[in-house]
Amino acid sequence: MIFVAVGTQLPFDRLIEAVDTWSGCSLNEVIAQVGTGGKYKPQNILCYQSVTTSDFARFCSKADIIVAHAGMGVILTARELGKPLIIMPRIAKFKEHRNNHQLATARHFGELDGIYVADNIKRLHILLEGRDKLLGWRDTKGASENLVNRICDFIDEGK
Amino acid sequence: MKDLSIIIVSFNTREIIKDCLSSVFLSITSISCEVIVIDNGSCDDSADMIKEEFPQVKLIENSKNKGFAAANNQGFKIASGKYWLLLNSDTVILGDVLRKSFEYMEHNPLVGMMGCRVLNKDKSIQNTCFMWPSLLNIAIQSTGLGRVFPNSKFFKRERMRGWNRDTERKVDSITGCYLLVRAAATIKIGVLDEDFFFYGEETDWCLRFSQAGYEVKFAPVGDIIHLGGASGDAIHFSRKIMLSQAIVRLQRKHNGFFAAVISWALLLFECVVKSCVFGFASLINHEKFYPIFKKYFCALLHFNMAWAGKSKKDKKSLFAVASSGGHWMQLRRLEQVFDRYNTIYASPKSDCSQDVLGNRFIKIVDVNRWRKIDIPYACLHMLYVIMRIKPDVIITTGALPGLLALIAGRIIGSRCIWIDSIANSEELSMSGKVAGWVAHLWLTQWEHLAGNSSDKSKPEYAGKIL
Repeated sequence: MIFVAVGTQLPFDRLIEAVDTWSGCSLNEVIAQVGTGGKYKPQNILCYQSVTTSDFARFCSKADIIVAHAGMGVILTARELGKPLIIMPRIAKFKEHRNNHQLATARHFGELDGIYVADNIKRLHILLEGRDKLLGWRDTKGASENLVNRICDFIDEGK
Repeated sequence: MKDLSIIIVSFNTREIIKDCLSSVFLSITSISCEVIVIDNGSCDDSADMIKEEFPQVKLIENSKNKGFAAANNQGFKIASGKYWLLLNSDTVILGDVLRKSFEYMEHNPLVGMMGCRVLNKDKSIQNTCFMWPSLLNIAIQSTGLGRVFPNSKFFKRERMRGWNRDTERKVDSITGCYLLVRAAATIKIGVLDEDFFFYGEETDWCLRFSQAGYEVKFAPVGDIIHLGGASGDAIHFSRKIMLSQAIVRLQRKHNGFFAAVISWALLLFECVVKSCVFGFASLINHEKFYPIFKKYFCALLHFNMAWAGKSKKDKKSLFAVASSGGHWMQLRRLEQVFDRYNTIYASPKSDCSQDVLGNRFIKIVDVNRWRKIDIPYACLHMLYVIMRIKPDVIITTGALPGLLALIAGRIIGSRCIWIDSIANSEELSMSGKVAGWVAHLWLTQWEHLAGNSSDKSKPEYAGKIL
């Protein structure tokens, strides 16, 4: 199963359409969380406008691969579960977000193991076709030790 | 093992402690004894004097005043004696009171603590050993009824006046200026409670000894001279505050929050009445009564400080708040922090509570800067939530609800931590920039966005949640 997630705030038609089109030619089960306000009507995939936190976690853990916008929630979830993740950053000029910060997120996190960046639809289709070769990376650690220590020192000592 | 470890805390008493140590070394000829001095950050070179003139003293030098309890506890850690003697630095040992005290403890194995007779400089008897400061005793003390009826036996009870300190007696508390303690008992009972800074710690200790089944005894085996503590009324107002806080803390620790409130109110009442009485009296005799009026009046103005706050040993309360989605997931990565404290979580989506089962969760009003209409309501609701839980520390990974929580926290005096989202790798978010004005600890997760330690216009970098 492939799980697609675009976050709760804004629609992301470009990504949904690309996955829907690809899904029409393959025989994969696809579940998508598409957000509200999108104009595109998907034909081949099962869609939810929004999903609860527990459903989100359930879909992610059942999925073989996750496709998403470059949002931190899904990036963290995929890495906690060790699932391969394809991210497509939202771009401001297509009115997909208020600014281009997802491009920066994609640039920084695309370097990590288990995260694959699709800058455009063509690249997304290539990644989806070769999905069997994509590997996840499980990150079970919490925050970095330095950060934890800094916060605890501040709480205990007040500075 | 030595017979006796004498533990003296010194704070700016260079000349006085010299007399004290001389008298100690003169009188410890017949028992094996060690002397430990903890210099609590004196700035009068007391420590250098001790090193030079009393090289046999085991000296611990603190860089700042840690308080009486904490300093004594440092001494206990290196003490090897069968008995520990807490001795004030402004005392003089007379005769062989040390040996006699030691023998008294040896012959009375049920006694956990003892005190000897304490004299003023003029050899009059100083009232050490008091009753436990129960609410009744505080009321008697604070209403001044003991002075109105000086011959009444009842009103003399708390200070144990009318007893010449010439007979052996069980008492509630012994003053720490000369307090001999059976060291083995402290394995079970523990050492002094460091929540007390000055006053009250020995009363608390005495009570814990009694509760553990040991006798706390006054025994007139000999005398010492205690230079301080003679002039009750002439002391500085800050001592009055410390003394009041000690009493309130004793009540809070042993009788609960409500008793602490009552005792605080009684002591406040005392300051009000005495300010009035001595205020009028100073109109008649300015020279004599004005300093006393000033003491009580200053104490009155600062009386909020007499309240005994939470114990330092209690876990701090933490309010961890974030918007749902990525912000919430980042917050949850800090579980290692939250496990150490009493953490209450908050987020706008109620199903986030599923992630933190077993912890208290509060649903807050959702708001972002594109939904301005909800902002006033969200502010009020956040303020209500924060005022109700009064967290020690608020920690957030954003976004706008987190910022509102920090602002509300500043109003009630919480410490505030902002961790900017890891998604903001090019520049801080809008809320993150504003948070720089509000947060006590302002963190980014990208090293290139951080400033150096002196640059307060940029956040600090300490690591990532990933």
